[in-house]
Amino acid sequence: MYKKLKQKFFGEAAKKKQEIREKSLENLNQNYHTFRLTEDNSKGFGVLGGYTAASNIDENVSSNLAFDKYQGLLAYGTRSGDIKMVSMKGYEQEIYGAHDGCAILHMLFVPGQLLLFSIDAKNRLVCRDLRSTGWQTSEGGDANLRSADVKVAASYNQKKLRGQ
Amino acid sequence: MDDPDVDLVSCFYVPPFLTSEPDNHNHLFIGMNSGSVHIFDIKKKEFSDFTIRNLKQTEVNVLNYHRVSDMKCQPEKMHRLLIAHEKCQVRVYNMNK
Repeated sequence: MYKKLKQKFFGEAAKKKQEIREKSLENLNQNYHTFRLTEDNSKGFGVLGGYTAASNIDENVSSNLAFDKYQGLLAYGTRSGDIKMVSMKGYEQEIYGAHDGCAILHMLFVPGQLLLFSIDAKNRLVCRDLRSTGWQTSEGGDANLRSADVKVAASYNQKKLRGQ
Repeated sequence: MDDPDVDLVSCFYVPPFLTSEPDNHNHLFIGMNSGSVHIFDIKKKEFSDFTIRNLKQTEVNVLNYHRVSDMKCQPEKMHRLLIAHEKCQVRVYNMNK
């Protein structure tokens, strides 16, 4: 008799615990956003799984990400040569034609210096100084980053081209 | 840098800036598929004269270095650069000597 009661009591308690776990898992699943940057889900949910609804760059995301932990900035490039930057404060910035339509292969922030380096498929290294710009949201309309401060020619001959 | 048909950038790296300013050397390291490393001066915005060439190009027939897969600086002594190549070769460069 005692054993049956024990089984009933502990069985119910175990069931309740399991239900609580399942509920918590459901909540986790609801709050969880996947960050898979495929072309299919980027069209449906925005580039970052629903975080960037106002995004216009929704295709051709290449596999490069740059992150500055001091400034809270995340940037990525696309195969069509565009760059998108997202701030931890919620601002967004898009740079169209950053590499003249050439695929961006590598991107990197200089930590704490607001400098963004990017290299494209033609071996062009572009340095962007974000300090010389007004950081605005993409919805603000007139949000143009001053484009490449320095472009280094593809051939390695110490050329220094200032401005665009 | 070299022509992309010949050689392509495989990785690049900027060491983090330290609070002790003299230890910052303000350079960007660009690793290539051929195994050589180009160095870019961040302050002057130009390539440095110093490049770490692949041994193949310097015609020293000891080791053939492959694609640069990763680079890191030692956090306390930033002049020491660790270059990892594919197929398990690792080079340590002391840039002040």
